[in-house]
Amino acid sequence: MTVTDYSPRRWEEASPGNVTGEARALTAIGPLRRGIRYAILRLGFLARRYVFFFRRRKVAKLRRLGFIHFARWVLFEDIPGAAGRQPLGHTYLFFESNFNGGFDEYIDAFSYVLEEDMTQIFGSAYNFPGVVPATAFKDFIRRHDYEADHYFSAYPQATANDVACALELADAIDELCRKPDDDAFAFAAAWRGLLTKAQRWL
Amino acid sequence: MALINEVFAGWFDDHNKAIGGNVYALTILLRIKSGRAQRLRADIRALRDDSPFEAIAGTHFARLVILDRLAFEGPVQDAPDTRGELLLFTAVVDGDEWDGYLGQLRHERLQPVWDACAGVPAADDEHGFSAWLLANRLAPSAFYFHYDATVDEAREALRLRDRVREFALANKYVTPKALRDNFRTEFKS
Repeated sequence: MTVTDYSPRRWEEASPGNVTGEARALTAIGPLRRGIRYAILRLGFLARRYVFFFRRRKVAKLRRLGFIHFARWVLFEDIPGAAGRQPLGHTYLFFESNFNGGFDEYIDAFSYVLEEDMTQIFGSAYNFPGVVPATAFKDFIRRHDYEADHYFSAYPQATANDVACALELADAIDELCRKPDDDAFAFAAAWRGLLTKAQRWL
Repeated sequence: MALINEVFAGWFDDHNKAIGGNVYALTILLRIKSGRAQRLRADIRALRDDSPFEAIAGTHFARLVILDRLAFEGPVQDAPDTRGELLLFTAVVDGDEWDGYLGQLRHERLQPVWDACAGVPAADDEHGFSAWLLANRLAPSAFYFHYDATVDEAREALRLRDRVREFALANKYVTPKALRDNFRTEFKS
């Protein structure tokens, strides 16, 4: 269901199907205009795939935000029709995110932390208002957002950072388990060292 | 060697797979049979309380979304013909298991969902079912992952974190020898 009937209610309340535990499902789909911004978007996607340093820079910014489990961007130009593929005559962008936290805070972070990247990605969409101020950008996303009819998370009570930290902690515990522990005092020191390092993981 | 692999990871990997990671982005877009969308929506929403994806190994996240129409905000005369409803199915799946994953989607509770879509093969045609999904798959232009782990690894790590928290609190003031012995019992046995 598309949330074209803009609701003053919070996104989570207006579209409860997008929520499971801590996880949120954003499903935004819209057509793009051909032009310089579209060309930049295409080039950006190619660079993400084939240019290591470009990709690493883009990923590092998203990782710092820390509240997105997984996200994808898909371009498509046709859909399944009654008889084979049906061309749309436009390129559509499908953006999906599995994130935690509130929708408003999520878009705020995108707007103010990733302004340039978001402009590159959504800049060629019809009626793109710019990412700052965020209010107009939120309305824009909501006009293109579809409520999930079913949404599943394998670990709904965990945030993206919970999972990332738990995995780091698991590696650290594994390393401690492999260390010789005949000397109890040396082990206690190693445990304290782990706890100091693990503060942010716990 | 690891750096070289990382530098060229995007050149050779499957476009649906995370670059430098072992998670897979499955994106399927299907046409819903005429007149079936309303019933399908009710069927899909009925899955909410007890998701069939819990029983499908390797699913990190999955969603089913009925697209009543594709949004278009351009000039009316340029609007594409998008009559009819579509079903968008996406999942983030353990990378090593994704091809076997398609077969698992023939879960009995999901079968009514696929049956409402145009072109679905007969229920006993396993190969045809996978081929049908693949024919309607879209490849991501970019796929971001915050962590690289299987579902089992992620769940196990979360459980372990709870155990470590409890252990740390319970062993705050014990002697080094007791700490070591308790750690052995808790984490090494």
